[in-house]
Amino acid sequence: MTTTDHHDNSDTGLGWTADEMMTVAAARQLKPGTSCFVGIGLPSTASNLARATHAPHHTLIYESGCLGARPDRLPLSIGDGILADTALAVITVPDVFN
Amino acid sequence: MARLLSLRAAVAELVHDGDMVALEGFTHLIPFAAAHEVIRQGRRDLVLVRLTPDLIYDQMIGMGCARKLVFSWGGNPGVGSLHRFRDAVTTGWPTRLEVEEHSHAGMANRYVAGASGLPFAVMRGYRGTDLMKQTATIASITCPFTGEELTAVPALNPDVTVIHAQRADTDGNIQMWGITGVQKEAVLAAKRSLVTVEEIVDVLTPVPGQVILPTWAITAVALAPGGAHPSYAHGYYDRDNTFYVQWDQISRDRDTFTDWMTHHILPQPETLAS
Repeated sequence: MTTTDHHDNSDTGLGWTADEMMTVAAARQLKPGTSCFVGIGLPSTASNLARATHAPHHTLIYESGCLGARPDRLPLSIGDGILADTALAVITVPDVFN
Repeated sequence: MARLLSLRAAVAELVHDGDMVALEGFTHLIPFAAAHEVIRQGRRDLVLVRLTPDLIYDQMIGMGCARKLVFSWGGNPGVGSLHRFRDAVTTGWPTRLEVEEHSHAGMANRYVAGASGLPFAVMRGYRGTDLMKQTATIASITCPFTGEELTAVPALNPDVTVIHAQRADTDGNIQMWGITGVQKEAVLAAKRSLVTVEEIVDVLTPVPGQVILPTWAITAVALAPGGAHPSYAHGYYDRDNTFYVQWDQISRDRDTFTDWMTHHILPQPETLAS
C-alpha cells in the first residue's frame, strides 16, 4: 500500500488500519463481471484485491488508457508500465475520456 | 520538415519567456530532459499547460519559470502533494502562480479542439462539480438539436508543445508506443513543437500500438537518451517509482529543493552539449 498525506495508516489496535478496512470494503462492492474506472491509491488497491479474490474477471480501466489491465504487482501511478504491459488494449487519453 | 537540433539549441530557439508551453506525457514519456534545459536557460513567466503537473512542473514552478498553470489533477501520483506547486499557490514562493484548473477530460478535449482548428470543444463533464464556478474557461452550452445542457471548453493552442518519444528517424518522423496519452493532439494544437527522443534510427521498425507523428508536423527533434527519467520510456527503461516517493522529501523544504536542483539539474549534462 502506498503512503500519502491524507492516508490513515495508524494501527487501530485490532491488527488492521482504517485504510486497509476501506480497501477491503471497496473491493467487496466490485462484483464479478463488472468493470471499474480505477483511481490511483486505495481504489487501485481495492480493484486489484477484488480481481485477486472473488472477481478474477473484473475489468480494470485506468485513465491512462489501459483497458483490462491485469498487473501482478500494485502500480504506484495510473500509468506504470505494468498496466500497459498487461492491458487488453492501450488507448489514448481523449479516447478514454470521451 | 523537422530539423535535428541539440536540445540546448532547440530550447533556445523554440521556448521564449512568456510563452504558453505544454510539456506533455501522461505518466509515461514525460519530457524531463527538455524541462531541465528550460530551467537551465532561465525561462520566466511561462504559462505551463499539462494534464497532471507531476514532478516536472513542480521543479519548473519551484525554479521560478512559471507565472500561470493550466492543469488537471495536481499531485504526485500515488504519493501525495506537489509541495513546490502548493508553496507557490499558498505563499507566492518563489513567484506568484495563477492557476486554471480543469479535469483531465476537459484538458484532453481542449487539445483536441486546438488540434482540429476549432474554437472550443463540447463534452459532458464538470456538471455537479464546483470547478465551473472556479474556472472561467468552463461554460454551459445547449445542444441545438436536442436541447441537452452540455459543457464547452475553449481550444488550447500552446506557443510550443514539447514531448518525448522513443524514436525518430533521420528525416525527423517520430515513433512512440505504450501509453501515448494526449501527445499527438498537444503537438498538433501547438504553433511550434519539439520532440526529444531516446534514439535516432535510419528506419522506424513498426511496433504494435505505435503512434507516428510525421516530420512535417514537428518543428525540431533533439536526441535526449534517458530524457523521460524519472518517468519512463516503454521498451527502454522503467518508471523510477523510488524517486517519485523520494521527491516528497526533496521538495517539501525550500532549501532542500533548491540545493537538490542546484547540484543535480543546473549543471549542464555533457551528453547534451552541442
